[in-house]
Amino acid sequence: MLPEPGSYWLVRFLFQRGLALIYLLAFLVAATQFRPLAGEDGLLPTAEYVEGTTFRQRPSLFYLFPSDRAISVAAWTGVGLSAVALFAGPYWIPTPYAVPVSMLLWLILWGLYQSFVNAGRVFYGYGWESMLLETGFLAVFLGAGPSQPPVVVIWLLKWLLFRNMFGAGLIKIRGDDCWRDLTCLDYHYETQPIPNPLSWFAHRLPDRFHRLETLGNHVVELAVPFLYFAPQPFAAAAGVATIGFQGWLMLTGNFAFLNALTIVQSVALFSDGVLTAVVPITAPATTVTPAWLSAASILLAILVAALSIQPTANMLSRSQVMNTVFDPLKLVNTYGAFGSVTTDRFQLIVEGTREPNPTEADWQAYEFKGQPVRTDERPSQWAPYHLRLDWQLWFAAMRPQPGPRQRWFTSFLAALFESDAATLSLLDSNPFPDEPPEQLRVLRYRYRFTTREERAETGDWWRRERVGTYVMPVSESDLREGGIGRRRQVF
Amino acid sequence: MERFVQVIVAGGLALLAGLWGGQIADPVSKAWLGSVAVGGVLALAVGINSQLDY
Repeated sequence: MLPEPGSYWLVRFLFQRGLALIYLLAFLVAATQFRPLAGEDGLLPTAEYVEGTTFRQRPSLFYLFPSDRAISVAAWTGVGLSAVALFAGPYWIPTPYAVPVSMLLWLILWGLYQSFVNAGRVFYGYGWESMLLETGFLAVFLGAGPSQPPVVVIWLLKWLLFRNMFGAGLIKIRGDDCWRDLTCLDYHYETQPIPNPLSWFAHRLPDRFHRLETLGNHVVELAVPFLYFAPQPFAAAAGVATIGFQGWLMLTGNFAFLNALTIVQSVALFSDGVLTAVVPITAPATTVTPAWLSAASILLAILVAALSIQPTANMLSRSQVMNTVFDPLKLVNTYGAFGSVTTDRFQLIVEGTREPNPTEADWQAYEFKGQPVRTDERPSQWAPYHLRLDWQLWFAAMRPQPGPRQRWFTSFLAALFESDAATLSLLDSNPFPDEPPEQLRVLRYRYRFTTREERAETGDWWRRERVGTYVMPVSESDLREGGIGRRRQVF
Repeated sequence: MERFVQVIVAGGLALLAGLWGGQIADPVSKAWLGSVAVGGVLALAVGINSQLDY
């Protein structure tokens, strides 16, 4: 029998450190990428966000202070406070103040990140952004210091993880024949948004393995989540299964901080008794949860229960919608993505030239950090860091021409004509370091992983064939005269 | 809600009922609750398998 099944001090301590690390990464991403993407002169300018919404609809500090300075201050404040949380700041101060200071710290982190998500629009339109906010809001009520966390908040974390995993399982089995005939993972590693160094090897595993792992995916996402609410050691066993599953996804792809965040949520499936039985750590002497924190956590549970009605109805509905929020503060959301898996990988290759009448040999390609361009370059590891431009390039490449969600693309080309340093910082290489190009074009290719034989012969990771032209060759004046200049005019 | 979702949710709830009941039940009831949990696992398997076409 495992000891102390009802104690969660270590669970809270571990969970908070993991969440703080993810916040730290997320704010570092905001500090380095938000201004070129959605700042004053970003690809989707801050002013457009302010004009296009209300504070009540999409609350953000940048609605009140729409400036790059405010963005920078908020991002670096978030980095600093995340570091304080990572090093357990509230645990170092006198006991009576530990819980209120902890609540304030996690509340500020949540408010700051809310500001980035709401003002970031398409560049922050991912399920794991609202998931980080929902997780971060629950963390406000976990407390700190020697007192035990409210058990009800641990159960709210389990409920969040259940919606995360079960929602993903349902949208898959409803969404695409390949999830039902167990062939989705024949394609997934090759066509996923940003492959990593092991994706090629995972793609080349035997078909029988892909069938088995797809079946395992269904079991872990549709059956195991019920065990999150089971007594120990069943809940911990479900935690091990979930962490193992997320670990495999982290090993074989770049999914920003989605998998890491799910692993952090899975910590709530353990108890101090289980943790001390398997790792050489012990919790200090603890005290009971302050009565006022217990009361606050019960009110929180009532709020979450009320706000769970719509997300649960959506999850169980035949017409389930992926990754949707139902309240402006994103307190309780519905999750689930990759309902369909594309069987072909398309890539946008942005090329420039300084020649007025270029031949094919005169075009030089910009290289991206995560999206493959060169066929001989091994995919890189980036997750849990998030390459926001690269993710949008993956979505953009699915269409033969820019669609309504690619309004930023023309601004992106205009920024390349200006050799805009902030925008170029989002790329891996700039073939025009001295003077900007005279013309740009964007080609669309189909990429596939090389076979074992092709790789042994050439060392290449990819084979590609051109399938179309995404943007015809344009000069800077063409771009502006075409009525689609940079920034404000682009919309 | 589709039939397979109903079966999966019912199976999951039966599994939980069996496991939690087993924590507090007397030895005779534990055997009965164990069969409820096993029934839940079977329902989960049936629910998932009903959607597979391989």
